Amino acid sequence: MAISWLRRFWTPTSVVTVVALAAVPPLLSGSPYHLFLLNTIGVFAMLALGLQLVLGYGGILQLGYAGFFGLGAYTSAILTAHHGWPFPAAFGAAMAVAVAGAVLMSPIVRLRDVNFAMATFVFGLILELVYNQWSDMTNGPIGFRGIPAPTLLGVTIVEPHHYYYLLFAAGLAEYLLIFRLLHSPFGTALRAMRENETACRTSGVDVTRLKVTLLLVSSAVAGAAGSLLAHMNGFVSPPTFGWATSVAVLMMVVLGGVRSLPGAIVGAAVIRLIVEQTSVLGQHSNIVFGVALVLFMAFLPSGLAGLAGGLCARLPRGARVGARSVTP
Amino acid sequence: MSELLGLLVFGLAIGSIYSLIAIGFSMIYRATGLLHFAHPDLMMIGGMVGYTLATRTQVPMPLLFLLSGLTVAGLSWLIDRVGFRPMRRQGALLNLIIATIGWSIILVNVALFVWGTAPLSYPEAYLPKGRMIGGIVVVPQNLAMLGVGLVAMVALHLFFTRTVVGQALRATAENPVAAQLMGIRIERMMTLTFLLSGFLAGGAGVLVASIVYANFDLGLIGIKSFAAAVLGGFGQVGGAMVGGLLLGLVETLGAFYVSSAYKDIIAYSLLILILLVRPQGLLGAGRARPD
Amino acid sequence: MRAATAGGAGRGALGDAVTVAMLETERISKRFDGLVAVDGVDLAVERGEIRGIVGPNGAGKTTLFNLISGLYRVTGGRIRMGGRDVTDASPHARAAAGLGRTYQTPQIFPELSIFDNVAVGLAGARRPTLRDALVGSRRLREDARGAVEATLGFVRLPVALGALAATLSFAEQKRLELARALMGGPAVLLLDEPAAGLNRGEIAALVELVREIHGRGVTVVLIEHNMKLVMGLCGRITVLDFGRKIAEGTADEVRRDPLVVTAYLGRSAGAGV
Repeated sequence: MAISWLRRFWTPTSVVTVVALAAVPPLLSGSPYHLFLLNTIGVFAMLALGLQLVLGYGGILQLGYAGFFGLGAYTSAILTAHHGWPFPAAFGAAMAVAVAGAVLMSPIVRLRDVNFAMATFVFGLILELVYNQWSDMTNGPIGFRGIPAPTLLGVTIVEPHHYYYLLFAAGLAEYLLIFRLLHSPFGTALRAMRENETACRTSGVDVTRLKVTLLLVSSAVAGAAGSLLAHMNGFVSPPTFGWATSVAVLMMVVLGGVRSLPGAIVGAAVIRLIVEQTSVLGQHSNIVFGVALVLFMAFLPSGLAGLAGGLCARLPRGARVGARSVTP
Repeated sequence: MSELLGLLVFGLAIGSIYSLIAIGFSMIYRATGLLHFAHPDLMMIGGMVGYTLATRTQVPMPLLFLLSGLTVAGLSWLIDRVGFRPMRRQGALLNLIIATIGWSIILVNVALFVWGTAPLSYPEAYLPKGRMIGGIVVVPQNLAMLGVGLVAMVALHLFFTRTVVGQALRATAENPVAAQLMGIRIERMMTLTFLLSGFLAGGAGVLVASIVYANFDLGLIGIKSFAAAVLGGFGQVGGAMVGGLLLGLVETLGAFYVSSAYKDIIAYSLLILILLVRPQGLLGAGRARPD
Repeated sequence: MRAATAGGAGRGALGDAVTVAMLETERISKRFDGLVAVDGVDLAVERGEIRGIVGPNGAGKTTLFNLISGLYRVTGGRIRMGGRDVTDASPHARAAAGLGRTYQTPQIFPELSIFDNVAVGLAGARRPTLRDALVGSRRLREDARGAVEATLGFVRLPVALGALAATLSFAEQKRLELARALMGGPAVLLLDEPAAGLNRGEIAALVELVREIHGRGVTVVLIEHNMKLVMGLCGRITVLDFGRKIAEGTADEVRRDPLVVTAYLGRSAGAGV
């Protein structure tokens, strides 16, 4: 217990991973397409981590997640393109708006799980509709063009391999933040809540406040990811922030393992790659997602991480957090 | 004035479709605690199957309703049997809910595969025809929908309160453990629930598709019935009916008087507002469940 | 009304107001869709009591506890702790105000470590916030560790802090749960059938422990079926049947009350009175 959380994070595995990830761009400098793909994976990995926090640790089925993704994206886009805001400020505003949206929804946390899931689902639908209908702000179904490249500390980041480092930094920061959270009294309370909510409540844990905090944090993450996506592509459109994306991110979390941080990243990579491939294969490929969701929930509820955990029973404490099922 | 009346009838008619779907949805929730995301897509399948039957066999509408209903009832049962029942032993509700999302995707893609992407119109004979009655344009279809919905609600209400089976179903929903101790065969109740709700969804699908069109994304209309279910008090069958009618009215009137483009947003926002202010819905009894 | 933190003597801030009952229910009722589980029960537990709640199965004892700890909302009546009305307070607020509780079957966190299991009990006193998580200090952690070790020592549970709670035996899990409840420094401790599932030796140890807890100033209310334990440990006993209070008094008074004899003791004659 006396080991600082930071020391716990830097296991041999994580050191190797971080170094390897940092070394990627020079290796791929000849292939901008692959770098672009990795960058997209990076954005979705951020999303997956955020959803995992709220779903895997909070047990909250946040079905409108892509809507918050969109709040961040559009906020950042509008502020920089139409109002000349500098990127850092717009980035911050993107997170703030996403959090504000979550605050709006937070009274719903009081509700029983099912009503809450329903409410988040509908909230996501509303947001998607707003992105489509509020043409004055979002330019409607056509999409929002002309989002400027981000300028950070005087440097304008345009090249994919520069953007990679921006995403890498943001992603690492997010990962560390979540890791820190989980290895603190807050994290203990979370894990306890997942196992036995009643015992928690009579022990003095304000379960509602915990869940709201998770909701807010995950929304901030989604907003940040949205901003990063917007400036990376220079263009955003409503379909990216709808139900299909919410399902895709859900799929990533389920695949990777609902309580495994590295799993979320792996899940993001796998799903993103599938999406890239199947857009080549054709429109019926979506069924793969459906079948996968069903099969995973039935046979592998703790995802690939659960599988890995079963295969190698002795992993460092920080990495292995799998369990039998999603719910407490 | 007659304009308003026409709107009201239309709103109620649309509402009754929402009600039929919402009733099934609520029933499933009530009996199994499950949010069945694939339920609206079952409605869609009903509409598609109805299309095929209508073009191939030209049976009269009531029979079409019946046949589609039965088909979808079977499908609903099958999905439960194959997909949900094995998982119920695990006891993780969240997993089940996520699985229904998977089934929703599967159903939509199956429909895409079998019927293609283009919207399909029902044969001429089935399309709603307005008639002038007392100066108002009345669409018998709408009245029929309203009628079916009302009959269904009354029947279900009686079923849940007066019959042994219905009371058993209710007891199962309230407290599965206690129900089991009382000797109620839970699995049978759940099977019945899936059959019945599937039937209603299938029939509703035919009604919708005949008015609008048959297409793989018909489920989107069904999603609005989620709103109806919650509006009326989630899990309450009577509430689902009222919620559906209310939603239909609000949507229709909103579209006409405020803005057609925003009518969905109005409906959904209303839903969230209700969830915030009165989480148990309009008709929901204050549940004894803590918090 | 905050009791001192872990290990120390539980003492309510209103500890000087001797006339105010520590825990009081005023005609509380609980109705579930037509079934009345608790019907107008008046309970006044004074500071420093060890109160027993007894009654046949289904008398509403656990429901009463659930109402007191806030897991159920009352359908009638009020609940007060140290004179303060907590009827509408959430369970965690009541815990923070000094109410501890254990359950019939130990409600622990099986996949968490012993340390974590007990540390959760601090949540009422030291709310786990986001800010703490980000900026938390080493000192806080070490304080917590010291308190956890002290409490585990107190309940005689000498297991490794890092072991998983699921590896404990049933009796050990009960102690773990008790340790968690004590971490919050409760002024009032609700024990639901603490002796259930324990053998004679373990029960004797339990009685010792409860006496020690009581000796530190904690007011104890316990539900039990083991009449010998109740008669020996409790100063006053409240008897429930069909959700109503049918008798209340010292062990001798209750034992002699004809209502009680017919309703309960008579039914289980020979069950170890």
